[in-house]
Amino acid sequence: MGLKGTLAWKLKTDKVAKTLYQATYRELQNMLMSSSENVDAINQKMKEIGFRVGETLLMDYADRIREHAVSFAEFSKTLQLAYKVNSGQEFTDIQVSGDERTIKFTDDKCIICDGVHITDMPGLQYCNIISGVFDAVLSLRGFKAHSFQESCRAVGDATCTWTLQRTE
Amino acid sequence: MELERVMTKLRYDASVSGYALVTNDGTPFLSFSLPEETIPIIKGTLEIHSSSLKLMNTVSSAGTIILARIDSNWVLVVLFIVDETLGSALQKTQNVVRILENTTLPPPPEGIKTEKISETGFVQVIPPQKVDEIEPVESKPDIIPLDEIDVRHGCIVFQGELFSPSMSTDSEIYLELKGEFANVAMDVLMMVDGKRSVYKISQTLDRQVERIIEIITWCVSRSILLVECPEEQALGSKEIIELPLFDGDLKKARKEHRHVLEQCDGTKTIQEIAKILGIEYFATLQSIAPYKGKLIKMIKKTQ
Repeated sequence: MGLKGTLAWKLKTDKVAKTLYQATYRELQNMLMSSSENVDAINQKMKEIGFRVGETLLMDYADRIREHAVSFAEFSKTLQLAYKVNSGQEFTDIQVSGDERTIKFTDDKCIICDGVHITDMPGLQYCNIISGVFDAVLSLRGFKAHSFQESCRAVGDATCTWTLQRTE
Repeated sequence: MELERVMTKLRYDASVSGYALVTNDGTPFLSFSLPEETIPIIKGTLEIHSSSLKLMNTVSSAGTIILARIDSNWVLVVLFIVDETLGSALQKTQNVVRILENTTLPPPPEGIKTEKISETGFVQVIPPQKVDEIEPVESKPDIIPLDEIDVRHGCIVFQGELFSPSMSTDSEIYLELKGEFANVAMDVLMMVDGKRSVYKISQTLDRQVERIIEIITWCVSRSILLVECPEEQALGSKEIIELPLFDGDLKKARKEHRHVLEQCDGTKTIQEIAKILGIEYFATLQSIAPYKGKLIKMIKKTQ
């Protein structure tokens, strides 16, 4: 992130305590678990929550994003900025497929699932709220794509990976 | 230690160029970065020495190759960089074999001989199982069209009806599978244990998840494998709860907190610890709080 962005993050962006965020997110997951029939239902519901959260987050940036006339692959930079502004974290890696139709973001130090250790739900996308936020940003920009969390530290994977696949 | 962790250890060792688990006839499985030119050397060495092999080295232009027997079915082959000394290479390989001796290894495909080394050193070679000893599949299951199958990264993989024949080197389905996907397919089959997800298998084999999805989809269509996707993963009553785990030095903790920290073994909640010790929840929390983030880990898991 450039100087302007760094200063904006340090001085202008309101922040919340990490423990508060993580504990609240965990209880949200617990509520979804108690009201869902299967793991996929939890994943879907968390993504929908993420979409609505994303729409709220974007209110201040909507015009700028709409005007961001770049390709799907270059749009990954906008998503990187959105992640940084909303979590304070940088992605560890961003990979774009050869045909530029798939983007994968990884975060080795994802704060959402930090310290969470789940052994009996291998298909759970614990941090799927991020996929929902990405969906909202992509939808605003007019890209047709679907996103999901491909790997998650909470279920024992080495890193958290979110995958965006262009559908049109 | 799980097989995956051992393989990851090898992969991240800077002195290791490549490795494989090799059967007694020199066929590599679960291989990583072994150059093509080393395969005939490995096969040739095992042809001669398989029955008496414990730990030996051979040389290739790519570096020193160490071969070490793990059990009657498997030999660990490690290719070290040219600069690695022989002593160090032998020691490192032996260390890995010691760990692997306590690990459950998948069975090799049928049709490959097992070495039986008796304690007196007398070697008895057990001939390979013949294909006609396996009960023939009476009616072959229909092939499911590929576009009707939905395999995703979070699906758990199980053995299907035709799993055993597909691991038998003489069967039609083995030849078909090998023709489609070569050795990668056999590596995938060996990783199937009813617990690993598609993503986990791709991580362990260090292959792209999309490629593994392709192989598993084909195997599901041929009834070699079955998958259970997140829609089918039932929940029962689950909850993520905090279980404090103190892994620091009790002597460095304050005296009045030690009896609480002793209970923090990653299996009890704060409420349970409070009950065991007969103190209030808040008093328990106060004993743990000074160490949070430094020595205490909160493991949050489902019940």
